[in-house]
Amino acid sequence: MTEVLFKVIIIGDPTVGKTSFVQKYVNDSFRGDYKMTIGVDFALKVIKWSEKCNIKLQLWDIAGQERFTSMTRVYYKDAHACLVMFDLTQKSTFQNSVKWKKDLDQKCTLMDGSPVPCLLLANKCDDIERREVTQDEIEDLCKEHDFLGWSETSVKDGLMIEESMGFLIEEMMAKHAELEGFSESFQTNTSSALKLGKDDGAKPSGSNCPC
Amino acid sequence: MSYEELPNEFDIVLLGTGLVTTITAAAFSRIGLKVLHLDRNDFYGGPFANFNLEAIETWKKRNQVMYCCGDIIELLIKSDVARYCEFRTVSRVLTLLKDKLEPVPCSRADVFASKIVSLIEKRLMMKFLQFAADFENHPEEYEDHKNGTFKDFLKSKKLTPNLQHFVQHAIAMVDDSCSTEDGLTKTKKFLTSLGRYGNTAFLFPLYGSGELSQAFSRMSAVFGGVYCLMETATHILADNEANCCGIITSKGQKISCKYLIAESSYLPSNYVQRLSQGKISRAIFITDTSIEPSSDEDLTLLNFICKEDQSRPVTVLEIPSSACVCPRNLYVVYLTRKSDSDDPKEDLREVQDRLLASIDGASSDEESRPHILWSMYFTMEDWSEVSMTEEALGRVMVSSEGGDAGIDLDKCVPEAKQLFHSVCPDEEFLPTPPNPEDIIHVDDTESAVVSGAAGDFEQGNEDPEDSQQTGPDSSEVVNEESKCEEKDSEASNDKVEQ
Repeated sequence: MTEVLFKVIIIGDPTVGKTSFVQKYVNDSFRGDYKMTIGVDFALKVIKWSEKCNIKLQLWDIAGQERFTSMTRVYYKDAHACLVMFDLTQKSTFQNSVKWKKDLDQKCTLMDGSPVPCLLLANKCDDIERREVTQDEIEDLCKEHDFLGWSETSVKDGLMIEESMGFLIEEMMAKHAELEGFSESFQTNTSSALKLGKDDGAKPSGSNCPC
Repeated sequence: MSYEELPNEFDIVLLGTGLVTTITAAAFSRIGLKVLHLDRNDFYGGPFANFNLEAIETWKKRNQVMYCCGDIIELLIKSDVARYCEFRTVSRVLTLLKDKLEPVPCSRADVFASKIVSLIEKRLMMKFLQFAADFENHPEEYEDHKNGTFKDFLKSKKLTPNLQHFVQHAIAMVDDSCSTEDGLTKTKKFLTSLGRYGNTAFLFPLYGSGELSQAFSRMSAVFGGVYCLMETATHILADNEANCCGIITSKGQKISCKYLIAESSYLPSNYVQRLSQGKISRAIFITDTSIEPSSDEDLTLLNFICKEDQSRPVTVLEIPSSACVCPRNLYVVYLTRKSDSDDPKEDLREVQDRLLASIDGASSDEESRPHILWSMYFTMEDWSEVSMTEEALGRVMVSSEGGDAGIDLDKCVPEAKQLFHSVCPDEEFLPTPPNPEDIIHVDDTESAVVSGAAGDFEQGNEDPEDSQQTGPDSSEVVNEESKCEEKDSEASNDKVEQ
């Protein structure tokens, strides 16, 4: 059994429905007891992709940093895919999705230097009366700024959540297969970056024994 | 990106996103206090900022390294903030010996492999390093020199001039005036750090040390801290006992808080006293080759002793492109020197003259030296040690903006800890957070979509604060404002009593 780990980040203006989306996606496909816990970077979901392969999906939510005009590189780092979400009932959040996309592309790429695959989500499509953005407008913006695609969603009514994520996962799996060969040749060629952790052979803190 | 009213009540408001301030913010958020963190700059660069210029701003702030066993590394590991960062080791320490750059033999293996120390010197060096690694348990060895300098102590140990140079300038990295005990402590710190992550005593964060502030900010945000760039406080609000009880933001919102922690440049000048002296001369170069080319892409640290003033060495840090600070095949070189002058170019001239090719490329022995493709010089005041004055309101604290002339970042940790404990004396400072993988949702049948979603989430409202009242009624605001202390304009600096 192989296991593939994907980091998916979700960005967009405040109150467009990002956290609810994550909750709904993780929650709906399991039990009703999930709460976005404070102090947790991401929601984790394990998906059985095939008989031989499990996907571990990390969904990174933006936490309190959404009020930054842009995010830190720390958040974007190593992302495999991205969801840019806006609110159909607030035109400014639609316009700002371009800024979010540019911010991402400036700070992060995939291992081979290609842009992180990005899906545009038009949330709150249930609220037809207050809708401020047309489908043509979304289509144009999507093409002009190299989004993978777009979808209307309603987190409230649970519309197009599974489908959007499923689409993104297929994209990531395709890219994953493509990059697998690349990563092998890549990793032998660069001096390895160091990750610090508790079990990396480091001495326990407080120990003063000289080397 | 679109403006949104902030919540009106916090426990702690912090101003400025320097390293000390971000560590402090993370510590408060971590134990559940409500934290608001503002920065007047667009520090991480707006969507339209030029990436290179953004990087320069980051460089300007800091370009320091970390001892592998130093306080900052221990804190990164314990708090698990390390998971947001990647590091590179400083792969070699060089020193300038008789006008030649030589690698410093610092570990047992180095000493034995070194071609620049004789056999007798090797034994002397080994013996000394062994003692220094455990010097507290051998007080008899240095008792006589307790009140003297480290330099004299090394001489008394019968180390050859070569070895004295290595130990003082390349391992302890202290100047001539350093006391024996401080010198030994520094030597020990170096030795303890060695070997933890390979044959090196220092680490450097990928993308530069500005990355650490971002990592602690993320930690704070994950624990509920609210962040806002390009926003600051224009007023500090005082209660009847002359304690700080809130701020007014640059967008005009009144926010109450119990404590205000701010970097000195955010506070009225009569609040803050600078304890650290002098200035720091700095230069940043982009060069086309290493100061000492080798087969590997080394990350090099050099403590450069100047001929004209030995007491003020220049820290030289050369970063290869693999540390993600510059394009391929180029190097970034940082120079840092304690200074009294306002002319950084002159102050750092000696390094340039001896290590780098002159601009006109005249003499032939300079052929192989690195050419400067781009350079920048600047002077900054050393604001690394600050304290509050008597004139300041209560419950306002200052945090240093960092940027001292030292080589490492460890000073930041005790300062952040002290700020934290002065508010929360009994709480743990950045305890290890729960592992996010502890919350796992296993979906063993792909198609299973459970109907009947939890009602809790049906609102699509991600921010509980939104539902609160956006503020007290306006009359109350006006009333409070009359008690404000004007911060930026001198004119209304007096507090209006009720």
